[in-house]
Amino acid sequence: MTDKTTAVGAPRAAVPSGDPTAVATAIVIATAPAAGGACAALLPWQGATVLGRLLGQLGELGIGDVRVLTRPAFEAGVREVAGDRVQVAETMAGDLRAIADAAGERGAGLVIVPGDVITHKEALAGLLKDPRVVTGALLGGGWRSRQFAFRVRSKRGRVISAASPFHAVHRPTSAFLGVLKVAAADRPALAASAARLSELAAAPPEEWREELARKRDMWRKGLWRASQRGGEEAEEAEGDDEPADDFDDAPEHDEGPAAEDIVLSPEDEARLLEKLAAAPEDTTAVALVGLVRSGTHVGVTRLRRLFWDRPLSAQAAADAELRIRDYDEDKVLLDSAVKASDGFFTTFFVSPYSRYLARWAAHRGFTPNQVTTVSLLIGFLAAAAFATGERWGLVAGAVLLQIAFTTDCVDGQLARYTRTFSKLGAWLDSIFDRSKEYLCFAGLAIGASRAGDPVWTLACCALILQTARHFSDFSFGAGQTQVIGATEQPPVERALDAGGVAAAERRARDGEMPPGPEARSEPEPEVELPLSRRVLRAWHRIDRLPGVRWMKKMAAFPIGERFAVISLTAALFDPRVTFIVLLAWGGFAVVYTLSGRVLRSIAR
Amino acid sequence: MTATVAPAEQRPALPSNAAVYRDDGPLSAALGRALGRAGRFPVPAMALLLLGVGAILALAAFAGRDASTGLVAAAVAWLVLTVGITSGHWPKESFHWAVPPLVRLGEYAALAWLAATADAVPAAFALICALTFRHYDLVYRLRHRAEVPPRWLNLLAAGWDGRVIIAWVLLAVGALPEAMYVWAGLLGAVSVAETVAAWRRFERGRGTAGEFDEVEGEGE
Repeated sequence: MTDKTTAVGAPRAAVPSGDPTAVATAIVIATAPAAGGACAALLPWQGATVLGRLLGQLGELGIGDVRVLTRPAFEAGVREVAGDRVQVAETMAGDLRAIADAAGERGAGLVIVPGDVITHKEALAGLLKDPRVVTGALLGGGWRSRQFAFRVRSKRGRVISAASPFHAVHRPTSAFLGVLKVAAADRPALAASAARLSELAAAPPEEWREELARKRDMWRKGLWRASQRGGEEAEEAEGDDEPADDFDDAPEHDEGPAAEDIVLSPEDEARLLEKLAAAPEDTTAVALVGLVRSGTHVGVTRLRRLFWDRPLSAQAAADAELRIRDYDEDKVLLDSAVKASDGFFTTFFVSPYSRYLARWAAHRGFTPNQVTTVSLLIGFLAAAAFATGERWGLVAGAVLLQIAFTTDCVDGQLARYTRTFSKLGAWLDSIFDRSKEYLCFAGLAIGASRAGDPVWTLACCALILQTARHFSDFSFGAGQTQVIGATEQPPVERALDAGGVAAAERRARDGEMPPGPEARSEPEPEVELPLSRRVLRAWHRIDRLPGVRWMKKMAAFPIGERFAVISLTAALFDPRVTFIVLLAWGGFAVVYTLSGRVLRSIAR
Repeated sequence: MTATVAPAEQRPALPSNAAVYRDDGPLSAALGRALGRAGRFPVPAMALLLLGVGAILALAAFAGRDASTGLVAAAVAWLVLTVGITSGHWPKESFHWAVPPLVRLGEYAALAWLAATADAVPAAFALICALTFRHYDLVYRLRHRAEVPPRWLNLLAAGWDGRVIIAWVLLAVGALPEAMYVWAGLLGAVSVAETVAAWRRFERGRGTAGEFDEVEGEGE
């Protein structure tokens, strides 16, 4: 049923043969100019070119059909690297036409990527080889991508708005790193949207031109602000790749001088010119806007802490060559196998060592599902030990439960590290987690009865409370996903996205100022917001205080904390204490999460 | 060509997640159709849910183990009536998420309380454990395989409304706790077996439907 594909680097997973998310075609866009009018994709890289490196990586990922789009001026150079796989177009309209034609052919999935992207092969593989992402984009939030990439807004694993030289994003959350995977099923959507964009690119609407002008000012101010900060932030934020809502596109309203009054350093001025020359050639970003605006489900893969850059000068390419050497790819992969959304206990008491168990398991060739099953068996043993009702049993059960929990973290990290994701695996993981927890409830209650202190009622209450809490999570999440899916996208002619249109209309209604290009960089007037929204904003704002985010996570009583409570209270006290603590903390978590959700539902 | 998404009404009618998570039986669905349709019922849906579930919780807390079979019968009827109507009478859309957890809370609390009046809490624990398997699987099968359980399984499981009534009948005829243990065992075994079979079918067909991302806060 499956055939093994092996690759260098981290241990590789089996890929199902009929995989609907498989990618067979790559469209490489080598059109961006670098400093001095050279082709950015042809910048030197380790004795060869950036484009050569990328084509090599695509080949190693098993993509046989590679087409390189370029401009007449770069054709000769590109042909030297890419041979006869080159297609020439005069303008972006031609690129989009070629994409539309390629997407219109029958075949497996395709990937669109700029020829000047320098990243780890694992970053490409993370998107192209992940069966969970059908059609998707590689996103990042690091400092480098903030400077050099167009932004997107993503929510619940889906890109809901994207920027391009001609399109703006309202309240962006991260940056699009240029790599766009389109599954076979979405090829018609890509063909249709790229064809439409091609017509528009040939005669750009007024809004598109205004947006490009706005971006020029925005980047000028961005470079100025960065120079004011002395670039310290760069070091600190480099590896940080957590989705964040404060990744704002336009905080530059009135801090500092107007764009035309800014005097940049010669280096910054040169960088701005490079960026301005390259930006209107960013066909990939435009293609992403087309897909998102046509309502296609574009999923999200994150860069994690891997390397990414798009150099626009030989100097920048040489810098990138030095910086990429500092990356220990295996360590980065292992570190980023840890789920970013885990709770406090899991992050600080389990993940620091479970990732090494995951690597060990990977090298021994264990599959995530085997580890999941072992975890359930250990959970059974823990419940059986609890059921003895003796002190030694409670202590042994506590220890076994922690071992089971660690094993449970290992399976997910192993899956992410080796990219062996499967739907069955995800199902087993979730259902076995629940089973372990409730089995331990049963074990503790049986043990307590044996010890002469029956706690069945408390156990029943804990079981009911936890299930109700989970169902609140499930249906709240499903509701949000549904809202995202039902959002109407403006046509691609419009520069503003749905959020931007709504904000502009709101301002126009309030008579604040006319909805023009300048207006949208202003913050929304806070006084107009209803109470529920203001409370929510303040609630999000305090996340920036140190430790607050972890406190909030703990208050929601996630699985790591629950298992820790069970182990500690059972080992030190008795099952009655365990259930009372579970009910008290769980009850607090209900009040806490419920108030947040009710506020959000009122605000909507 | 306009690049907009079709509004929800124009897309094929799939039951919403919240409707699937409710796990309604025939009686509840009939009540929703008869009384809850198109907002004809004069009481807001959220009030009905809170009154129905709140009554069970209050009685369980204050009448507790000493409640008579008649009182339990009245409470079960009240729960089925109020919450049943809401199967066709939903609150404002942004509050749909609150419905399934309330239905679960009402069902499980009713089962636990009525078992407690016959001193059969461990049996209720076993039955609720079997039900949690069914209910988590409702969520996960929709998420991972984009499926709902087959009709025969839903009928066998009887819906939350059917289950509280069956539990009351078992209480009334004095069959607790034994019958509840048997019920829990059978329901658990059938649910697990059906799920295993469904996974085998799915893995053979290698379907593509459904999403399986690790969504923050619920993937734990």
